[in-house]
Amino acid sequence: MMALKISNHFAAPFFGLIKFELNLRMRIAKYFLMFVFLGLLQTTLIPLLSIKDIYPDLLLVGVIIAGIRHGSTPAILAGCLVGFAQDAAVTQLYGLSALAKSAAGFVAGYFSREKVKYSFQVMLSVVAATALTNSIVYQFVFYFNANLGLGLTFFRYILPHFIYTVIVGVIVNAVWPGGLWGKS
Amino acid sequence: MKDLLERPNLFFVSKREYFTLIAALVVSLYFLFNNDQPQIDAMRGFLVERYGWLQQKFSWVRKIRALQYDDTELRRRATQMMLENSQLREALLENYRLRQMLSYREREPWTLRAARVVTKERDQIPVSVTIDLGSVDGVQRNMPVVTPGGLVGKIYKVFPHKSIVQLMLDRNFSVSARLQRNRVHGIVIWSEDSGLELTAVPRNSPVLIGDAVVTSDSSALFPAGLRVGLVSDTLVDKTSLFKSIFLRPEVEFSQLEEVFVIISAVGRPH
Repeated sequence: MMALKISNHFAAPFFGLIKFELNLRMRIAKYFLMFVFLGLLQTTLIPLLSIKDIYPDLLLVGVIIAGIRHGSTPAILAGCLVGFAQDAAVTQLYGLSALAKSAAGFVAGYFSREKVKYSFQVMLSVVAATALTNSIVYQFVFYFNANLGLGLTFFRYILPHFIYTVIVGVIVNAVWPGGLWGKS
Repeated sequence: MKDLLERPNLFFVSKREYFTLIAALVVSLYFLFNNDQPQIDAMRGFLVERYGWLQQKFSWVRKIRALQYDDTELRRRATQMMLENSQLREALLENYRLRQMLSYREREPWTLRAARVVTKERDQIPVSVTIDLGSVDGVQRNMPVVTPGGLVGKIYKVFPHKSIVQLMLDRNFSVSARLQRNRVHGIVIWSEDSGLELTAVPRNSPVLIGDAVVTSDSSALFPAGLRVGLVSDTLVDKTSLFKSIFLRPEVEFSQLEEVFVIISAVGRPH
């Protein structure tokens, strides 16, 4: 009995994270639908916007929304799960998107609305920092064996992805209900 | 005891984002380094199946772009084929023309030099063309220029490698000619009003529409028998002693591309 109580005490924070209260369930369902919607856009419409094989990453924008509105932990979890789903379809390196998006979710959550007050510059900085983290982790690992060199990898792959995602992030901020920041 | 149990709680709660990050990174790296594991393959297969199903359902969106691309590609290929077809048609026509010229050259007793028309006037009625033969090729002023269709004109100016040909359509051009059927003589001239005309033919001379007109023996420049044109119309003016005979040239002057220069005609060396 005592052992159970001790384990409950130790495990409580983790179990507390995934404790499904009604509003939490609603929130998870809402985010699930949001990621499904963004995933559909990513696979159907976004390829139409490709410029020389450079796509913006809408799912990353979803992770940014989760990070800003709810902090790092949900953003990391969302990034990891979404990344795994994305990896199944788009890369040969299974786990790479999950790795990059987990790190990106951490960065986005680090500047969540509970810690930082909204302004356009702050929002832009958060999107930029998150997109840059995602691009650096993803592209460096992806092109690690390609012998392209750091400079070429940065300018040919990291920078264009980063810029394109930031632009799309700003557009989403303008059109998404409540913007990326949501209601404080 | 209670403090001991509370403290880790606080620690985990306050640092949970770091722990979550580490956990997510470890899991991601584990998958990343174990890509070939059958369990991971199976899980990935499951996701790919679902993803594929979703892609299929929404493939129409991507097909729009594919259709656009196909449309553009088909248009490009159609244009390319049309150009190729046009080139082949050109080659066929050129081949036909050259064959005609070859047989003409073999048939006629004159020494001919084939020439290519390099420039021509863009006017509706051209009066001269430039050919790629000159004095170094033996071309001299006033040499007749012909095609299998008949007389074209004569050499007007000669340069070392090029020559200007005065066409029959120049109003300053004239040639002594006759009706091939009954040897009625006249002079062929060109005027803007009536076109190519056989003049100085007595009004009582029998002339039929379609009669062939050829150069006559009395021409100082042209060998006899060169086709000039066909009679297309006649006009008798009661006040005049002569008949107006209008000709339709058989040479397409606006489409001249290859011609022959008669370097020397039998019995009429230049």
